[in-house]
Amino acid sequence: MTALLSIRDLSVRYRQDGVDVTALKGISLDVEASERLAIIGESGSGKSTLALAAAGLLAGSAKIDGRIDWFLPANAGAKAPPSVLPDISPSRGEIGSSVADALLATSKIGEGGDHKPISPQEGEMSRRTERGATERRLSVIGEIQAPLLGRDIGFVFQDPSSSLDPVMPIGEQIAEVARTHLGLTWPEAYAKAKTLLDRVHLPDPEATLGAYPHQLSGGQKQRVAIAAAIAAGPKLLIADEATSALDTIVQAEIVSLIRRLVAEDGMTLVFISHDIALAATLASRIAVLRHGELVEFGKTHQIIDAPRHAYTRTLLDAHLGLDAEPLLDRQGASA
Amino acid sequence: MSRLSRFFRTPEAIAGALVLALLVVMALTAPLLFPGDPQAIAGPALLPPFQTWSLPLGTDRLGRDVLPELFHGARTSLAVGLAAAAAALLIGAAVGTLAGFAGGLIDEVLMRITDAFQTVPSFLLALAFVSIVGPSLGVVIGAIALGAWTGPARVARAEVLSIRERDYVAGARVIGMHPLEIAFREVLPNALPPVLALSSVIVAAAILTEAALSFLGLGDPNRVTWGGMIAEGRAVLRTAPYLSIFPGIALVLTVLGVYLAGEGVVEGNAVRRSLS
Amino acid sequence: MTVLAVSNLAKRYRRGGKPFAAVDDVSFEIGPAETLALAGPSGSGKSTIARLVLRLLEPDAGRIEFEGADFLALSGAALRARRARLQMVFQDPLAAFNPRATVARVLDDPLRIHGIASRAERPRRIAALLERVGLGADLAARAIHEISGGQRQRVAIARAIATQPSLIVLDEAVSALDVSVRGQILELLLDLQRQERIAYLFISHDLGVIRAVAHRVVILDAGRAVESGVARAVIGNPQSAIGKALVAATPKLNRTTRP
Repeated sequence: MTALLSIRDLSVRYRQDGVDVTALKGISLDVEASERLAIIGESGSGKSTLALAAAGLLAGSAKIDGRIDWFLPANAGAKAPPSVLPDISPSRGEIGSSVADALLATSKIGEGGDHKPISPQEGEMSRRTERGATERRLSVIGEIQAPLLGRDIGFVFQDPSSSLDPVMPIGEQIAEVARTHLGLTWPEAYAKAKTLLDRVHLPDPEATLGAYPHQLSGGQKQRVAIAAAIAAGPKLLIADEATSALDTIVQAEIVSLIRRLVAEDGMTLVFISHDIALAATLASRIAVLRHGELVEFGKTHQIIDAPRHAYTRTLLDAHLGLDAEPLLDRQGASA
Repeated sequence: MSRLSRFFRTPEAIAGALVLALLVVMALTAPLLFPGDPQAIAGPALLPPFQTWSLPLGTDRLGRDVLPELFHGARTSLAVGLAAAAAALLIGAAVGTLAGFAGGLIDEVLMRITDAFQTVPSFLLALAFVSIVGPSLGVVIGAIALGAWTGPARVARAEVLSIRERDYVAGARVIGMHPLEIAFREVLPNALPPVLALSSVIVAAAILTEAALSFLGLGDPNRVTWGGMIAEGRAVLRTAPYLSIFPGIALVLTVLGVYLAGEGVVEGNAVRRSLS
Repeated sequence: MTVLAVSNLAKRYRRGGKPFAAVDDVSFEIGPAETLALAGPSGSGKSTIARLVLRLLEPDAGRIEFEGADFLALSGAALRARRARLQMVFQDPLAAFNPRATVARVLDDPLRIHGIASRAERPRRIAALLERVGLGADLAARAIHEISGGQRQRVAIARAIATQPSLIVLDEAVSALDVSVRGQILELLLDLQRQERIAYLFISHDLGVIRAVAHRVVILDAGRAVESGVARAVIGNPQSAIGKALVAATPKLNRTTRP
């Protein structure tokens, strides 16, 4: 297996009301290309911070230590106009020059597969000047592009109402992503948007193109958000509690939609959830986070059937499935 | 403490606070520094400023000392500005809360009354009110409040309409709380911050309205006012411009100070909200 | 004897000019110390029923009989007094309290409004309530926003039981909680039910939770009751289309080894 994303000793601290809050402590994990990885944890576990860090979406005030390395296929960035890249890039397009030379060579002679490290995110992303010059042996190489949100990473948030623009038609919101990252003209982008709405199984894609978010149900809005997230054909899809605000039936539909899209496009999936049972139905590997630390990481069947950490067992035992012994009986109470 | 430090983070807020502090000191010390009637004749008429130690800012047409007049004028400006703004905010918040919370007919009636007040220019309203009832400090305050409560009422109503639908209001109904207690204890305090953000604008407008009324001779005749002083000086504007310039400067600084300090409070609150 | 009897309840709204029925001819009964669950997808009308039963909304048709009397006939002071016996716990414990409130104030309100304890006696009653829901009495002085979500939901339960109700409506009361906290809150609710003989109208979209705590279940779809019966039997073998869909959609942990 080849890694798409390698996270090493990642720590994130926020300052909140004058107190330092540690959201992540020394997280190391690899996301392998084309795998379905679930990150689970309860509130305050840092699972969303991890997703945001991977997508380069953390607030500028967050203090980040450690590194995030990407290994994107060489042609991933070719579609986008270079001019938009340096500013939006989560890692500011910086790359170790020696590494880059080697890999440029690699890509030229076509050896060693089609993967190369794109952007080692060095040290504190926001306050990088604190690092010594010796560590900053970095140079900007315009040709090689850092992973870009929207183009290389699709992100689906929990609340589709707040991730969609309320005053922009659905079609335009999706077409805009396709146009920006794929360099399409507006008519091409609209055609693409219609195809995408069809792919996420929205009824009557033609009519939905002109609809506004408030005219859709919660589940439909989440389908639109997914369509926008995959519009530019990203390598990685991150779904951060994407089904938590939905009811059980719609949740199951969205999960099966995500599963199908990921399989069809060969995307890598990072599925963030508080629900271990839901994560288990979708993921091939599960990472369990608690209080900002990675307590257990392994294949789904191992986590479910032979959890090593007591906390994982607690989560499993707390799950109220349709086969569990009802609490009513355990209490011995009956009407 | 931390709220105070956030307030003082912007230089504008500090400048505003300094000006306001100076104004308050002037108003509070006026009877101590200048006891007796500030309108009493103190020396020769139309003495220019910076001539004698005893009359540092000179005298007006009747030989009254300008400096004590300025200090006592600060008292009037501050008292009228704060009292009128407080009255306007109180009436506005109460009307807005009742309209928003009760809804239906009560809302309709209260908001049409608000419309009626809002369509009449507030200065004309104050002018008419004072001309009919007669000038005195209380009437001037009432007249200014009469034209200023509609803004707070609208803001309070809009805020209450959104708060009314929140779970905690439903929760208060479930435990059997009286509707009036819900409106004024649960809803109003949470609707206040955006209403209070209007206060600096209202205080500044009230001070200017008071000055304008006094300028037109509709201020309380028994009190020194900056507007009255400017009106006094107008007759000798060519020969003794300082008589209009000093109270004019005082007025400009005061209004500016109120605005800046108000902005500081609003920004401090915004920072606090974004943090929480 | 029943605590709550709802018959032919209906509530219509207009959406986009067209009338639509949020609740359409729904009837059910709840006995003392019984938990009746309302299950269904979003938009099925379960939360609307909760609000109708609590008189937060007025129905267009139907009858609500609470403790043997016509609950819809009450108004004003009589209704407010009767509310002591019929309480509610909301989904989001943060939104359910005045953001300026302290724990003590939240618990003081029902005791004061219903004249349950004198002013001097109330602090002691508040401490007892906190203890009853598994919290320390020292929590009383804290602001609502300072305590954790699980603690908040315990405070919400303490407020609900302060007036010694016979029925508590739990509107998705455990849906927003972490799973480890959820178990403890459910245990607390069951314990209260056993000790104080409180009936619950338990609203949830999660059949796993319903199966764990409810005696009976009514499955709703588009405002109509499509299926009802003993919770375990209905969930074990649903007959209605929506019941089958809900069961199929519930995530299952296929653990081969069990603790």
